[in-house]
Amino acid sequence: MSDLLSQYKEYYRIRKERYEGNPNYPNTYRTENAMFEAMNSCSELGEFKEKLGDLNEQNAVNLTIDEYTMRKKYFDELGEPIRVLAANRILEKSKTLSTAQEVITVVQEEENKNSIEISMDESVRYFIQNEWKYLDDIEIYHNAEVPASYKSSMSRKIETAKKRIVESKVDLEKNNRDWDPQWSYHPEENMKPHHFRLVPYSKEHLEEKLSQYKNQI
Amino acid sequence: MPIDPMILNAMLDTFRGMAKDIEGKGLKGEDVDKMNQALNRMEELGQQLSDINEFNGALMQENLFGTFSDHYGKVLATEAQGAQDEKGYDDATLLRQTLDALKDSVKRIKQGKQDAIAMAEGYSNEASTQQAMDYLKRNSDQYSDVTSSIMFDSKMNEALTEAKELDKNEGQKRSELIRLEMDALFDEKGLIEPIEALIQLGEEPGMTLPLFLKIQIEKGMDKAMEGSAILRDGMVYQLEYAKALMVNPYDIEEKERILYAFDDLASKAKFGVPNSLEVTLADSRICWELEPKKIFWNELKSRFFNILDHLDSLIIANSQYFPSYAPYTMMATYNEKKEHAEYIKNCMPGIIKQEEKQLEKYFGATFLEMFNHEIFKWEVEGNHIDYSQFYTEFLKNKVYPEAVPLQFLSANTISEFESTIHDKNVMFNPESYKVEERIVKMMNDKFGEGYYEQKFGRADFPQRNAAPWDINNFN
Repeated sequence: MSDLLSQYKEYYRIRKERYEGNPNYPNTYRTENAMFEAMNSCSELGEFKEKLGDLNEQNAVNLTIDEYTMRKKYFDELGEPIRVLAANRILEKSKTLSTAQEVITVVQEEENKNSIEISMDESVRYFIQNEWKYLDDIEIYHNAEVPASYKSSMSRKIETAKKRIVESKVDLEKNNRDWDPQWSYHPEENMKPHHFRLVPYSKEHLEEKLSQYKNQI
Repeated sequence: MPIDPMILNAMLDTFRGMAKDIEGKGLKGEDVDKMNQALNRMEELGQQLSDINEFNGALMQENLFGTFSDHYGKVLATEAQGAQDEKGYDDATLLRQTLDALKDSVKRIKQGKQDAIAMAEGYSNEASTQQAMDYLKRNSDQYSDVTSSIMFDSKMNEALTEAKELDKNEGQKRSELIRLEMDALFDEKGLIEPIEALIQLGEEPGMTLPLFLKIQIEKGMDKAMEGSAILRDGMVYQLEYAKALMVNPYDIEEKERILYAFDDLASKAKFGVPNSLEVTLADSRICWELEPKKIFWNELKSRFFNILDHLDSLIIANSQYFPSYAPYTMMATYNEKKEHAEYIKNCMPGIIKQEEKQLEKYFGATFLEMFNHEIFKWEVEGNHIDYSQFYTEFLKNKVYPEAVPLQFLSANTISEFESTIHDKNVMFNPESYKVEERIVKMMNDKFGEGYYEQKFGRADFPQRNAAPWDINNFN
């Protein structure tokens, strides 16, 4: 056996060992192992091309499947229904992919699509940082005990806050429809667990604020 | 009207350059056509649309950056494959090509650093000001409130003269600082050394491609080449920065746990270098876990200190010295100042009561209870409170009890503020400078002694006569 052949056998052995026993990479290990077997069964290097077949392409697909399975598991565990969409679609499409180039194209397209989905989905969190404050202001200026001569000043502040709430919705929708023409602002989506976890208030307070918001819009 | 060329060029020049490179190589085929179609569509949208957000949105929706890069990658891959098929398997040539590519990457890293320095050194305040002027003029319909002013030309010329002066006076200093920063931030050595180790391995007598590939996996040299050592350095820097800033305890915890996770994964990795996806997911999980805590902390802190600030504004409005404090210093006429002070005196107690109700309703804590909260302690220990302990106690114990709706503060309290706080200059925290001091130390340790002072300068800390904070004796 030539030195080169035995060295290639060693190289493919070490490649598969890198994934051996790693529960995150079962598919990659399978094709890495198959490539090692193919190489190990060669009695001369020239045989390898035929024995390899499309295993290297399958290996690229399998590596993608394993890594997106990790991502899917991660986002599912965290309860992130939008962030997991790229992994879901890539895993589904990977079933019919056969080359590394196809994998690159699909991953790129789906990651791009998902980045828009995430931006649109997480825009509803704007309500907590923005409109919530205006609604609080309305409550403060409405309930604050002030001398009669300052009541009109309080009313003007309330009107300003109300105007900002309306403008804020218009601006956000105009901006986001450049990215997704169908997008509409639904702050009640903050009740969904993946948004609600970032709300620093109780569920009852969020419901109350959403109800106040509906009265203003 | 099309997207302004200054913006369009910045966005598309890279892609134009890549397309030109492919054309220069004489490459043709379906992928070249598709790559050019994507670029043409970007150019077309750049001419059709005028709003930058709409332009960016269209590029993303049509996935034009991605499509271009995808076909560009395929063109290069096909070219490389073609060259190999033509030659057949030749171990020595393949090894040499691999080593040449590594040597080329070392050159590119070195060149990249020099280019970045040259670009930063070549920055001209004058050119940048001129560009901004031209941009405003070209887009005068959007910025008519600025460009139609009769002062526009004279103000712009004034700015140009100032920019020229700045270039003349500060050019040398800027250049020195850029080199200091680049040496510290752009860890050329950390990037190049692992690659050079690989090149050295590849050039050992009797080396073959399979042996070379095998050894680099065994020794983790392939991952080291991807920059794992630098990644860890970055994590250490982030942690040091968080400790200096002391924004909140979760910020520090996050950076500590990220560093620990990296080291833990590295210790368990088969060849001592952690899997990059596992690192990414571990870091991301830590940030995900701590994000709600940070948001809660910031919201509660903001509501509490907002009330404290409103008590401060209430006592100032009642004092005869109100015109010398913000926001009155920014108001044009005495009448305007007086009117605002009257509004605060009359309305702020009622507003504070409502803010306090909201604090209690949302967070179950009263204003007074917040002085025993960990947030308050953290802010004191981090030197973030701009008020002195003496003044904070005064706001809490004297002003707050008198902040009753439809009532005014007592003459005694106002007089006490004026004579024992304003006149004696004990309103502000005498150790506020410590925040900057921590950052100065951290940056000078990183970039070299004197770096911070040279880069940002240090204003003299004003005289403040109050005693330093002692949280254990806060009343």
